[in-house]
Amino acid sequence: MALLEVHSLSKDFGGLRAIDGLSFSLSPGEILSIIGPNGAGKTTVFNVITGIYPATTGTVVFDGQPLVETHERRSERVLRRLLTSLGGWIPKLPELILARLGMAPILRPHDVVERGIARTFQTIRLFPRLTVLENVMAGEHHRGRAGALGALLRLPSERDEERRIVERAIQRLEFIGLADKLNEIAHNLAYGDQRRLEIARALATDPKLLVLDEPAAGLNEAEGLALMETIRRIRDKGVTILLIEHDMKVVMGISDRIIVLDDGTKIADGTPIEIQQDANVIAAYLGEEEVEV
Amino acid sequence: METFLQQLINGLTIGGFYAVVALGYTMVYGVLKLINFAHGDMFMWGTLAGWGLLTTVFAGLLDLDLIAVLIVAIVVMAFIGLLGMTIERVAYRPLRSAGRLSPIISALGAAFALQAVARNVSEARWRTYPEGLLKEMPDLHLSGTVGLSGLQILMLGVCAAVMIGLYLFVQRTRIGTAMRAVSLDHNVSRLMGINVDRIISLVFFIGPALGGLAGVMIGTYYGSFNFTLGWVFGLKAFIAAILGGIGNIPGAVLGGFILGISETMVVAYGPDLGLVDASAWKDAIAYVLLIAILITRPTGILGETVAEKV
Amino acid sequence: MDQALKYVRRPSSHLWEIGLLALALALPYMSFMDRSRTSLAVFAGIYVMLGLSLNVIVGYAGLFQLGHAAFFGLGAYTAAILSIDYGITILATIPIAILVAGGAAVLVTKPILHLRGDYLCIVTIAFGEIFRIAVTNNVFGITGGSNGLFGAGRPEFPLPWLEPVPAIMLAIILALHLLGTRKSGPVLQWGGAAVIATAYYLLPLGLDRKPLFVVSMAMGAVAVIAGAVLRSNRASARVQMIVLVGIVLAFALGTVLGAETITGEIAYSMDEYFNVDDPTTILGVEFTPVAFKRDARPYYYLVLGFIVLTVVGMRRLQNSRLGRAWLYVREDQLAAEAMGIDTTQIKLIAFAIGSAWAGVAGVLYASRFTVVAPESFNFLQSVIMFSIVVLGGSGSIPGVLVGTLGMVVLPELLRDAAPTFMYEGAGPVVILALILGFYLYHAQDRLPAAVLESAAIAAAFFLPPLLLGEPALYVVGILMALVMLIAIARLRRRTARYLPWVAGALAVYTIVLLAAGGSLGPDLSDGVSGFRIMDWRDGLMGVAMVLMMMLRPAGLIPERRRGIAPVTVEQPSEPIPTAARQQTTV
Repeated sequence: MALLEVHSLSKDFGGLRAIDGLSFSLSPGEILSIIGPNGAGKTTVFNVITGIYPATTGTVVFDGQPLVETHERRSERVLRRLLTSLGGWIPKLPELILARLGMAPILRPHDVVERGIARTFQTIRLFPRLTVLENVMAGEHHRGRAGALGALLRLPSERDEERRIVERAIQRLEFIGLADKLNEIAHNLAYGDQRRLEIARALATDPKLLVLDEPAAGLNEAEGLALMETIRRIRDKGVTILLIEHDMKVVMGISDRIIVLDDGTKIADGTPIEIQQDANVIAAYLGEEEVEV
Repeated sequence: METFLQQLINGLTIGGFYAVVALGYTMVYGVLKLINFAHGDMFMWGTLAGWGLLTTVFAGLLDLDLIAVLIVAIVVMAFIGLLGMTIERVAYRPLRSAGRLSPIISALGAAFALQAVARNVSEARWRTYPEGLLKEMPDLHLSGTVGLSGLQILMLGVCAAVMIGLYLFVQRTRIGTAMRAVSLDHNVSRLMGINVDRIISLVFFIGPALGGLAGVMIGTYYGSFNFTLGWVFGLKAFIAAILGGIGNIPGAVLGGFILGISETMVVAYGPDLGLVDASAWKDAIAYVLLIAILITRPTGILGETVAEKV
Repeated sequence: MDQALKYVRRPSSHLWEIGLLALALALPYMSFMDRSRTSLAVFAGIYVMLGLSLNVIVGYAGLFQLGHAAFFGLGAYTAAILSIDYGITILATIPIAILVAGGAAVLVTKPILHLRGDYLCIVTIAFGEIFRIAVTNNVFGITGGSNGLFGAGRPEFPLPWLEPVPAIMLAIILALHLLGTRKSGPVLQWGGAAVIATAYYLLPLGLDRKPLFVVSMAMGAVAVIAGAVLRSNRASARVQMIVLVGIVLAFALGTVLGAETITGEIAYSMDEYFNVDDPTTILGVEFTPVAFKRDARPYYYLVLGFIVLTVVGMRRLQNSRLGRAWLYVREDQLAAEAMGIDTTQIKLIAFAIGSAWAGVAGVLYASRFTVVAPESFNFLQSVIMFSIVVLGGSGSIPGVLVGTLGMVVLPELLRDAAPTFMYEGAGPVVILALILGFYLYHAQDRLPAAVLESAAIAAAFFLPPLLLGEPALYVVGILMALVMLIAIARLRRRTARYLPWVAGALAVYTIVLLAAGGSLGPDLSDGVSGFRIMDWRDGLMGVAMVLMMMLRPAGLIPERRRGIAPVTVEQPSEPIPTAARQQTTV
């Protein structure tokens, strides 16, 4: 069964249609790349999947659970907006009402993380003034349970949990190769290290699916190679990977499958070899130039 | 019905004052993304300076009241405009890159300082404008008891002129275009050859100058004021700016009128609806309106929802 | 890998804190402390608590809150109403004040949490103003209108056995118990509740000794804490139940066995101990309602106790999972959300905790002043609290202390001391020396020019008083010197030719002063009595706020985090054989 199924997904910004009826699916353990010219809607796909933007129409099913569900009547949409905007003073009440009515839940980005999707950003969004370790600990947050009372009384359970969080964060850093810099301020790291730290932070949420938005942007060749290696290692740990990338070396080198987007629609879907030979892709995406591999 | 129309006219006049003060807030917010808490007190300084001039230097010219008030208004506008520029130079410019908290403290500090000076100059008493000022102007009777006093016609006219003039200035002139560019992005504007500091200074001249004008108008309309005027009225004008969608000139005008009319209506009809102390709750209306609108429209009525670029 | 990474909580030296605490403990006995200054210290202490509570919202979570006075006021009004109308002893209203202020914060902020920074700022102002207008208009007829409420009670120790108090305490104990055991099955949850409730009333009512409610409360608290400790050590429900019953039995047995002697003694000695006519003293400070009325020192220690509690609590929060989540939200809300942090909830918790604790400060305030009136909770108070946090350095606990000194203590001292200190004897010279010293310290690299500038500042300082023959104008001199400091600092960055400007400004200023003479502003002809520093207090505060932000935008003592979860890299004590090392390498 597919891990992620996107079915005729569309997203409008005002009059602009950023994604137009996109469908694709992703099997567990796969590395899938989305490529396409600038403005093709790649990042928007990521933002819809991770709950940052609501979709206009279409469905996304992740791990058998609906993430995005837009087949609803106007009245339902109004109700949903009302519930969201009022926030609901009683926790979980809007969710409860929606579930009663058989409507899909309101998923915010953190709910999507809870379901098992973690992401990185196209422009690096670390917590720049915090240390490397603290950055990674952010990913551990949602599995923690300690609250204000536990912290105030410093209960043994809280202390155990803190120690576990730190130890696991260190493990992630060792995995990604940043363990020697864990007390440094994230802002002071070299660019390539910041990229890696963002991946480590996303991994710390223990995702089933890791969504990487141009991880190789700004990296030199050696760093790019190291990144490919890292991505493979992450996959070998059982994490499925969805990738946006411009660097063709990286894309062709590690992808099991590639989807090509142009103007919000899918124009090709296949293995790297197939994509390189696809006439549509060469015409639409690479234009007149030679395919550069 | 007649009371309703009359209240509507009164509300419009007050709304006009709110709108003119709100323009100052909204312009500053547009270019600096800063809540200029000192704006209310600058506006109050306008009332104060108008009072000072009319009771001393211009006391002899009161026979020609319209001309005297006009000259006073222009002098006050220039003075308050320069004051605004000074405050921007001293209190805001050094903090432009210092995060979000520091400028707020600095603005509040400037407001306190202005208020303290005004309190001491006015000796913390209610002060009155010369009596009978502009009361001789012809009234306009619409029907029955409904009508506009000459003063109201003048005030509404000036407000309308200011709003339209400012709107055209911002939309049609080169400098106005530069202002809009600066409000979108300082760095890009700088790359396009716009002198950002000068534009900000200009905004800090125009905004407070309008505040000064509104100050003189309010002094003339109500006749008396004290040094706390700036805070109360200024805050409400700021709320008007937010109601309409801050950074947006038509929004500030719309917000001003909504606020003015709702206040007048609640005071007029509150007792009929069971709100015994309607006038005591008058000040709360602005706040309640603000919260109600922001819950449903987080960026105000005409404000655009800006999706964060990810 | 030769190094082993090991997590160690960085040992912290508490030298500073202990020294400061010792100083604070000794303060009321120092020679310069009189009654009014002790009162001021109590007042400042309440503001320290307010600053610390606001620090959670503004400093930790990075949210705007310019209506904090409303929650302070909610606490104070709750305490006053319960104390006056229902006769509940004032310190027992703390839990209720926490619930009211925290609950109100949740209700009120929940729908507005999605607003962006400045919008949130203005909405919090709106809440503050609505609160003030509501209490001024005597909402629900219980707030006493613009005059406020009179006659709130003074603290009594211990929480006495007034009828409602034990019931409220039991409700809280049971709520904590039920909350803590919600995953432990119905037997422990409801059975345990029944055991606690029965035992709670059995002793005092069965033995007809109401003072024993104090013992009951202690038992309930011990039971809840023991339960929490056991749960966190993953003890089974059966063990928890046994311990719970054991605690109850121990209390009961101990009390019943010694009924004649112990309860008798407890009852009598308690009555004696808290007998108003025969107050017991600790270190010369009496902790009785009468003493609280007579002297500010008991309050001082009461407030100090609360501050210590607050500081410890805040530290722990800051270094916890929740504290980190606040940091993440403050640094980058979207990234925090994308890391699985429910930012709305995290922000809501910040508002709830901060506001609830402001409510506690409100109870202390009500018990100290016994009068609770709307004007104590107006926008100016919110601004003062906000400034305490930001001027001190947002997010920094020592910053709050320093901010309170600047925003609360200094202005009050100015009221008392300024008229004499600032323009008599060596006062002006000392002040000028401070200003110049500060200035020269910052201008070390360019001393010759700085000396000239200092001369200009000194001239600005001495001119008005000397020209007008009015010593009180040294206050104006200070203002002018500060303005010149700013002007020089600003102009210097742009151009070296600032001296003509300074000289010109000085000339204009002098002429204005001379021309204005006694006609403008305060009536200077009255001499010292005509110039009241209080009139200018807010203005001075305003100028100081602008100046401080200019010189130190991050606050006086910026937040300095020592690394939330420090990690040390340690060399293993024994070298690991190469073969073994290869095996352990991942």
